[in-house]
Amino acid sequence: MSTGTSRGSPFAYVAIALSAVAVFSMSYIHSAQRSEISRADRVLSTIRLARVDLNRGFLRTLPLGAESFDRDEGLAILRQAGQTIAEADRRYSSGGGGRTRASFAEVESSFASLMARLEADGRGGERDAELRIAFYGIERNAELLDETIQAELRSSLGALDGRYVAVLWAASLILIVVTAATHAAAVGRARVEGSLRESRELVRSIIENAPSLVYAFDAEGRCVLANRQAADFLGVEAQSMIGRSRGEWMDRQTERTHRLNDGIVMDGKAPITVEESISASGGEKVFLTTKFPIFGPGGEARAVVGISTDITDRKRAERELRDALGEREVLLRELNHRTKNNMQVISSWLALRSARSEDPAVVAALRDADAQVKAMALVHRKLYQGGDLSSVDLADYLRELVGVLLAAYGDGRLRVRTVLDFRELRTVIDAAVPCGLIVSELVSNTIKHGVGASGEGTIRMSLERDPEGNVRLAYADDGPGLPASDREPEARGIGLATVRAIGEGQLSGRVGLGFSGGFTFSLVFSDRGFRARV
Amino acid sequence: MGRKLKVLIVEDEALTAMSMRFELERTGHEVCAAVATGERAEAAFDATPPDLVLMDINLAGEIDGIETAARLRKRSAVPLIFISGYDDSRMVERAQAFAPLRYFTKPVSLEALVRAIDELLAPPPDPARADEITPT
Repeated sequence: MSTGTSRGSPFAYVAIALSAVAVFSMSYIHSAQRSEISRADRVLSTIRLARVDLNRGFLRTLPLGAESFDRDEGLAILRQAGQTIAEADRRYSSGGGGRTRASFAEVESSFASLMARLEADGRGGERDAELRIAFYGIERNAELLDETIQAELRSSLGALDGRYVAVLWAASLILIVVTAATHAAAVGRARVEGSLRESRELVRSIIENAPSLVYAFDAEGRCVLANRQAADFLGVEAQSMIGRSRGEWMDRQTERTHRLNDGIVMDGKAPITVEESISASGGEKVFLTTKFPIFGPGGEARAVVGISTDITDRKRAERELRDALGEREVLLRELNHRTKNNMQVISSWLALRSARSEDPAVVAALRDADAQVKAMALVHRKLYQGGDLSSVDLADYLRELVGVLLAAYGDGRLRVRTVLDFRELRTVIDAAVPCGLIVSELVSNTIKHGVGASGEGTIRMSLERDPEGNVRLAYADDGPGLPASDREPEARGIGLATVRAIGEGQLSGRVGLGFSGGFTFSLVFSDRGFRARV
Repeated sequence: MGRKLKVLIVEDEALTAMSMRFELERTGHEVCAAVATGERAEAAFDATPPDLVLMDINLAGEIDGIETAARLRKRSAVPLIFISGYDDSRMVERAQAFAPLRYFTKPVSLEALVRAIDELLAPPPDPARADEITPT
């Protein structure tokens, strides 16, 4: 998955650029305004000087010989012809000309008053002198007004300039901060949008590249999503599936089944996993489908998403395996039946031969053989009935075997009591069968030698697995025991020799025999070396 | 020994049938017929209605022992003892439908078989025991 850095919005960069341009522009305008103000000031000064020059020219043209002095000091002295400067100055001062400031109203009023007086007395000379004085007052007051205006203008412009600059920079700062914040937000939004875009792309990639069929249908049964695998399976274009219903690709029954499953998901608002079949050009396919709802803002189930995996091959393998297991079961059952049927035939043959013989030794030998057949038949039955073809409960097997043997040897007079102390002990058949043969020999021995003419006796047996894991089997009857001459196995025929051969040779165990106070037998062996054959 | 019985043996293994006949006759019973197929069992049954039928399940012929038992049961409520090499629960359940006296699993001791017959049929059959089937 990509984790590349997200880039900011172009808008943010444009905003920053515009901010910079705005600051530059405002600074430029501010500078231009200051230049304009300076220029206006210079123009004003020029006008003022021009006016002064005009006044000077006017005064020079007067026939009354007026003069003016020192305009920069703001003092002009007008005198009548023949009048000394000092006299004119005094006269002006005594006549009110000494004032340096006067309002236009005062000047206008005094001028009007003077003109009226001059008109009345007809004194032309005085009139000219007064006129000059009045003119001077007006000019002087205008001059003072210029200065005041200029001063106020400069002060105002200076204050305005300070506030303007402060406001300008504050606005610029705010604009920059806002722009930076906008940029940061844009970068964040771009990063989120980039992450969302990556997530959407990842999901899309997963859906498209999933080996399963991925699709979704809305509540009306219209397709709202289908990946390439779904489309390929149906032999259509994925985009062409959108908005169409299943009926356009499936037979009626299949569509009904699939929609029924969708309904279960919509109503239950919970996922389900089902097996669904779809007929396609390649034959019927079986899918393991998981369906789950997707919800709208109000919590309502809006659509059902399905993910279907083709399990046709697996189902076929399962069916073949099931068939094979069924065949194996039948085979095993028939084999078990045939085995026991054959053993029945052998047992029947032995019984018939025994019945036709008048030699007790032959009869006894045939009966022993029959007992061994039944011992082996029993272990087969235990294996088959137990469902575990490799092991049996040896205690259960030996318990039933003793009963079978006593029944087989029974001739009506036999009354043998059994005391069995058995613990459940599972072992493999290769250990169980030899144990059964040993017990068969031991029971046969007891019936022949351990019970008297009364046919009464007691057989005691114990079976357990000791802490070391060895199997311990003990057997005893309460018969008279054996004379010393008969205690060697070879002296007792093949019975005890068989027991010792099986116990020590086949089971690799330790065999103990006792002949005093009844017959005793013990066997200790390990069954760990026997492996299960099935 | 209890009362003398007329026994029909339905068994397709000749030696097995022969040994059963021998032991039954030795103990005083009468074997009216020993047949190997269900069809012959029907005929023998009709010829001489027995007091007891010893029925194998896997028989020669078209029908097995259970089907044969069903056909005989349509004729009478004759007591049945199944003797089979099958000891799986499915087969035992099928046999149980006919309320046999016993279900012996082969190889069966002939002495035990005859002893069971004497015990079961010496008194009149107890209906309460009719559905007890334990493979033996």
